[in-house]
Formats: sequence, structure tokens, C-alpha cells
Amino acid sequence: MKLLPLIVIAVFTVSLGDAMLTRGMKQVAEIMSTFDPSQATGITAFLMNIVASIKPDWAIYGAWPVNVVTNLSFLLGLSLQITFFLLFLTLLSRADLSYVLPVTSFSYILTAILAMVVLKEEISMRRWFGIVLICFGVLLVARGESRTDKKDIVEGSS
Amino acid sequence: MGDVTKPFETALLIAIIILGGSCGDILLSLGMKQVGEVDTLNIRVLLGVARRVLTNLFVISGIACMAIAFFSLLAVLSWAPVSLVSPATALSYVVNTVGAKYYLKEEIDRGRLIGTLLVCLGVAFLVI
Repeated sequence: MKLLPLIVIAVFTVSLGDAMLTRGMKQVAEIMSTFDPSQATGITAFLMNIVASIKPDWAIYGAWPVNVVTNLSFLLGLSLQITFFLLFLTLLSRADLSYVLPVTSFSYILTAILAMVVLKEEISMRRWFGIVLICFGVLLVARGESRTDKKDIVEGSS
Repeated sequence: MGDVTKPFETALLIAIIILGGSCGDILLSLGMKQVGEVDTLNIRVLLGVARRVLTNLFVISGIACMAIAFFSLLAVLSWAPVSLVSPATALSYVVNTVGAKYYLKEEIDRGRLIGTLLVCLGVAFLVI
């Protein structure tokens, strides 16, 4: 398959994945804020005991995994991240790290837009400016020569 | 990081995400170059490739680094805004540029150097 379509799909996948992981983790944090350790049962209690045996103060963190892996937003985000990871491996096998990495990082902008629209995050002008600067930096980095020929970028690797 | 409740923990975890991700990228790149290009959809060939990928020491180490980075990402996302965390991980460009130059022996031209510095400046605007 051509390189560019793969990269575009990868960017969308990782951005939406980040947004969904964030939504999931924020939901779990909300649940955990009212969690009563004495009510823990089953796997949750088991994991809390393991963590407590390492450091008693940290027992509460043992209650996180069950809540995380049963959260739908988290599972969707994880699936998208795994999809991205497989796309990334494929891209790395046919282009240089120094070419693939800059282009996929356009996801920072898409992630910020999704964070604002879907997660209702407030993003200050200064933060947008920082994100745009990063975008320009990334463009310059992407323009740099690497062993992946320009021809490959347009036509896909041979 | 005005809107972040735990700035020290946030910065620490972002640093772990960057270092883990960069080490993972470099190790995976080395591993996948050893395995070679994946250009088939033949299931039997793909299974063979998958076996070679998953038994490659560079790939295994790379995945371990990525796992550490991923768990750190999950932790920090439970309290920090993704619009801060995600762009802040762009600092990995600095680490990756250094890694690409000294370990993968790739050429770094002036444009790429300036781009890397712009990324640093952009991240500074994210956090002040």
C-alpha cells in the first residue's frame, strides 16, 4: 500500500485513540474519587493486597486496573492505539524512523481539536500557539532529508 | 501548567512517556529493519513474519519501553488535559533527532535542527 494513505489513517487512529483513552481515564478517576477500599471484593481486593504488600499507602492503586479494563471508552481507545501501533510497525518496516515519526505527529493538532470538541477541554490561545509552533517545527523536521526518497513519499515504497 | 492539578507528577510522567517512547521507537526501528519489509497479505507468510518480529530482541525491548510509556500515559491522562500531554510528548523529537544522529547514523540537516528547536519552543508555550 502507498505510504501517504497509511500515514493519514494512522494520524486519525492515534488522535481518536488518545481522546478516547483520556475520556476513559477521566471517567475511572471520577469513579475512584468516591471509591471505598473496604468494599473491594474479588480481583480488585486481590490486586489491592498485592500493591499493599509492596507499599501499604499505595493499596488504592490496586483498585484501578479492574475499573480501567472494564471502561468502554478505554477499550475503544486501546483498540485504536493497537491499530495505530500495527500501522506504525508497517510504516517503520518501509520508511525511516526520522521520516515516519514527524508526519504521524500531526496527530497533536487533531488530538487538541478532538479534546476541545469531544472532551470539552479549555485550550488557551497560548496553548494553541504552542501547538502551532510544534506543527511548524514538525513540518521543518519532516522536510529534512532522510534515506526515504521523495518519490517514495508520493508513490509509496517500491 | 496553570490548569494542571499535579504539575510535578505531570512533568515526571511526561518525561517517562518521552524517554520510554523514544527508546521504544529506536529499538523497534532496529528490530523491524532486521526483520525486513512486510509487503504481503499471504497469511502463512505473515505468520512467519510475526514469529520473527516477536522473537526479535530489539522488538521485545522496544515493546517493553512502549508499555512503560503507555501506562505512564494512562496515569497522567487520569488528571491532566490531553491537549497538554499529547503535544508535550513532541519533545520526543529532540530525543529522536539525537538518537537518529548518533545511533542510526542518519544525517541531520539545518532545517531539521531548526524544526526540532521550534518543537522545544512550542512545548515551552504549552506549559508556561
